[in-house]
Amino acid sequence: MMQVIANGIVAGAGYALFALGFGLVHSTGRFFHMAHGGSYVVGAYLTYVLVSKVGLSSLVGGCGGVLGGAVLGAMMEIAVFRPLRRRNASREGMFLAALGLMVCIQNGVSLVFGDQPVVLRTASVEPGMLFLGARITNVQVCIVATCIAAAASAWIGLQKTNLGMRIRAVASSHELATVYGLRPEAILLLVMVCASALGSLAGILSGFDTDLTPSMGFYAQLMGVAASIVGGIGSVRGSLLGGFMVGLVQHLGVWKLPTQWQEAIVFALVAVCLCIRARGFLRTNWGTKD
Amino acid sequence: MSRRGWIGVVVAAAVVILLVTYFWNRSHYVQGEGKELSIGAVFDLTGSLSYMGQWSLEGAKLAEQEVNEAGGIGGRPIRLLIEDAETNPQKAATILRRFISVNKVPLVIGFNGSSEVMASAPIANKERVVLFSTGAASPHITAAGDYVFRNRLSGALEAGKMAEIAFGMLELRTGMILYIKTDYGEGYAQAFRNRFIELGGNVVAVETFQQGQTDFRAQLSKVTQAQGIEFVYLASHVREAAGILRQAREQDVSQRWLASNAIEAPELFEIAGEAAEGVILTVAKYAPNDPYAKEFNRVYRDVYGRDSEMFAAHAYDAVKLLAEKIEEVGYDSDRIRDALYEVRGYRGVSGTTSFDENGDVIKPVATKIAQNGRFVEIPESRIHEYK
Repeated sequence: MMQVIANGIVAGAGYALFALGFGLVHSTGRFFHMAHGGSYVVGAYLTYVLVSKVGLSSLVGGCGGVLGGAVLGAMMEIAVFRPLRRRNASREGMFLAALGLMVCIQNGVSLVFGDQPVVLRTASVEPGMLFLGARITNVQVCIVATCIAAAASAWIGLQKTNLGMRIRAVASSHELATVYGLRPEAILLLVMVCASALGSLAGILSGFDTDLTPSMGFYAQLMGVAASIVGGIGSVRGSLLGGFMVGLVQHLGVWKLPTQWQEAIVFALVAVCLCIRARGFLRTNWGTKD
Repeated sequence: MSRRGWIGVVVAAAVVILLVTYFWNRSHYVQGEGKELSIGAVFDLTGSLSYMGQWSLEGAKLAEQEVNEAGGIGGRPIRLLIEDAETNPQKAATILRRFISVNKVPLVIGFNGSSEVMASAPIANKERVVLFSTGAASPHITAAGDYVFRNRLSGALEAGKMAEIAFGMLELRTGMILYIKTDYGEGYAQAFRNRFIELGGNVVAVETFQQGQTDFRAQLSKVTQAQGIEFVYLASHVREAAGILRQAREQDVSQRWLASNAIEAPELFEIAGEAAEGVILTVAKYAPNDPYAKEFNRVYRDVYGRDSEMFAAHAYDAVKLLAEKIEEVGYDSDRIRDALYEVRGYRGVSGTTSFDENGDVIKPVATKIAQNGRFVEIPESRIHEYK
């Protein structure tokens, strides 16, 4: 039982990390960033190249992966989302563009690396440490710790710093922010870079924990978006809550059911939550003025 | 550039692309016609069965070369038309259709994955083309039709044998089955379950996972959750199996692991390391020290720089056997099919081959255990020592 809960928390931490970046883009850029999973998968594969092919240490390779994910985010913003926004593209248009990007990235990765899983971790296989009756590996501890640290710094960054205030201002209204002398495009680029770094971090950590496949980004996208919706899109605490809820439900839900129902249970949760709180449990009051 | 200019560029580009593909296709296929006798060959050169596909390809090519060096069939060389099915059943079926409609071949070999055979079999039967699988093991293939043959042993025999060993020699009574959701995995899981229950054993849980899945913790929590599970029977491809065994070790799952043969590849130990030690599997007997196989293995090592393996031997035998049959009855699918049903005790490098009335091969089964980074055969008399 403890093992199942531990599995749920680890999975949930990954989803929360993903939802954090996704929500950040959603509330400032006001579109459904379906390509967020792209930075997830690219960051992970880049780390794989740096660690397994170039021979860097896991830490350096991981940093390289995060950097690569951030650069990808910047590229997506400058090459695709910014031009679309300038032409007043609708949210649906942005959504479709992002979805198209996601498909391109996933197929590109599959073209280069093939569809079979590749293995990032090279360390020997040891039983994890015993913690309250559950076995947890170092990587898994790392995932949970990173998730909490990232959420804490995102919260402090948004609420307590001057930059955070600007981001919130842009989120609340692009036009008003412009009137007050802010440059929404620069802020949006910055948000995209940070969010993509978080996304690739989630991908890299999950890559170290399990293995890499080109479709990992799409799966994370599904679960991360579910977490985001359940918790409340754009809220830091909501992302955490949603992530852990999805992770726990996914693992506890199959306690008595066959495991093939894992995904179905998550979406049942989404449906139930939408019935109770249509806007998620902790939807933030900034960035929703539309 | 003006709009008209752009249209011109686009049209010119389209014409160039059409011409290039036309000539490329011509050079690609026309060689197979005329004097040469073409045999379609569908292997998984990429995707999760690529390790198998590579072996099959090498074995088949070696046989092609030998047949042609010996003067071909009545002076006509054979030619394998090789295509990659990417471990994808739809892709395999598409290639088969193209072989039939474009190349007009009467027989197609290969098909490493069982789902590929199942997707292609209806086409082969309808178009009356012999489909000879050198790698697919699912018991479902037994009933796949009149034109479908294989020289890879049916998984029903391997999985059934595993159940007998588990019950009789390892004295295991309560287990769980974990299988990959493909025709292969389902076939092995069913065959094992049926036989184990028939013997009086108890299967308390059956769980599945997807091809390409990487996180198996929910499945593994089922192993420790149910009471009294002594072992897990794992029907899986190698990558997934490696991930499962690694995560099982990390969660300190101490149950015994029994497995289907597809996990027997070097990658298992590269990924799972120590966690793979002690896994027991059953597989069609391949005796590299048999005089026929020994010579084959020597040549194989000369050409490819590594030891041969069962899948290479199957593909080699398939090409050799089919060449022999073409020589006997001609380059005609119906006559080749009838001749194949007559094959009894063909001495090949993968052992002796006979076909039953379903086009399935009949061969003995061996038991192997993972020890020090590889699978070693255990003689039947000593299996009980591994209780």
